[in-house]
Amino acid sequence: MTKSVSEQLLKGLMLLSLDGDEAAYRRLLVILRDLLLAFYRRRLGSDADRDAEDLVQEVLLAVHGRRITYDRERPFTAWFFQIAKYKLIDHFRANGGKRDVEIALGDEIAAEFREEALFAHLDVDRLLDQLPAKQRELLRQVKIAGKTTAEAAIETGQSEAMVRVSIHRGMRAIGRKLGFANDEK
Amino acid sequence: MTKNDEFIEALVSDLTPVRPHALRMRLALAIVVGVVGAAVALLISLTFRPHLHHVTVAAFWVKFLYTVILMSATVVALERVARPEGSIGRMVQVLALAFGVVVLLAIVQLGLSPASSYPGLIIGFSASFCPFLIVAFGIPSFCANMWFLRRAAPTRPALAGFVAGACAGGVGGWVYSWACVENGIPFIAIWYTLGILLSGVVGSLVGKVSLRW
Repeated sequence: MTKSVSEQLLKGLMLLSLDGDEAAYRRLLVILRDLLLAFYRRRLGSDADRDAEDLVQEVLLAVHGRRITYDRERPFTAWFFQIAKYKLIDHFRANGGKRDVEIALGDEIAAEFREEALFAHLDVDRLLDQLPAKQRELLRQVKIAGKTTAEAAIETGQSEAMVRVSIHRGMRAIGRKLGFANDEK
Repeated sequence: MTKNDEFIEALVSDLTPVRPHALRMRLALAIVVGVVGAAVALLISLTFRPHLHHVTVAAFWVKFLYTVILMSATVVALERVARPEGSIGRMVQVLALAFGVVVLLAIVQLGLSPASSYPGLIIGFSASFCPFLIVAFGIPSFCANMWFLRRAAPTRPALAGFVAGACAGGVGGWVYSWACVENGIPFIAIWYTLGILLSGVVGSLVGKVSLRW
């Protein structure tokens, strides 16, 4: 199994950090913060910005204080993800407090909280690689390189309608892998 | 954002290198402290029990090896369960296998012995306090294990507490076996196992409330 982009990058930074490299550590923390902020904000809703920021700080603090528990031989993303998940659940148990509804909501968010989804921004390549070659190429051209569907249609020799359908399917397939239930029926 | 950046800067300025296997070294320290603590408890208890009975070589080694295996399996599991993504691995299977072997040996011993000796082999004279002494001897080890876990990152507190407790029971049982006067393998299978299990259950309860972070 090939290692994902995020795993290689983040593990490299973590190993340097454990050896005391401050620049690497700063870069690692900034990447992790941005990943978490984007993720928690999306899940907690826009009115919970403060919550998301507090939560991010708690996770980073845990990463810092408990970095001794990272095993250099094992994947970094799995280690970090479990800390982030633990803190998310803890957040709902502690702050969500007594109401069952909030605990249930927390459980639901935690259940949807997947390693793939957290590292998605770093792992576009890995996600695309899981799609059929035709869809992958179209998504690269339209969603990443920024071409129009018309241009992509000419380039691949398909009708524009087919290109649109193909891209739509590709996006839905990625959504499913990330655990977003955006399937219409 | 600036507040967040300051936060990251604060963490960066607090960065100190972590040596490879730092967590394992810490665990090793906890285990050594636990063994020494149990040995001290044993020495103290010997002053209350000056005359030693005769123990057969076989019984001594069964006790010794059984507890060493339980201790080793739980130490390995403890190292793993201390990490956020860690699982206990094959601990349960190893413990069950060790228990199975001792039960088998116990049945063999009972088969070879006259029925009149059964009370001695099963209850002995220390059954009423043996499990509790094993738990008591394990207390220093349990404290050391909890110290270790509270600075680690276990994401399943009750399970981590159970492993810490069972490990303490293993340490306590091992040291206790050095001067245990029983000759019955059935005795070991029942009362040693109960003591270690009891220690694990207590650990699980303590872990559930005290291993949050």
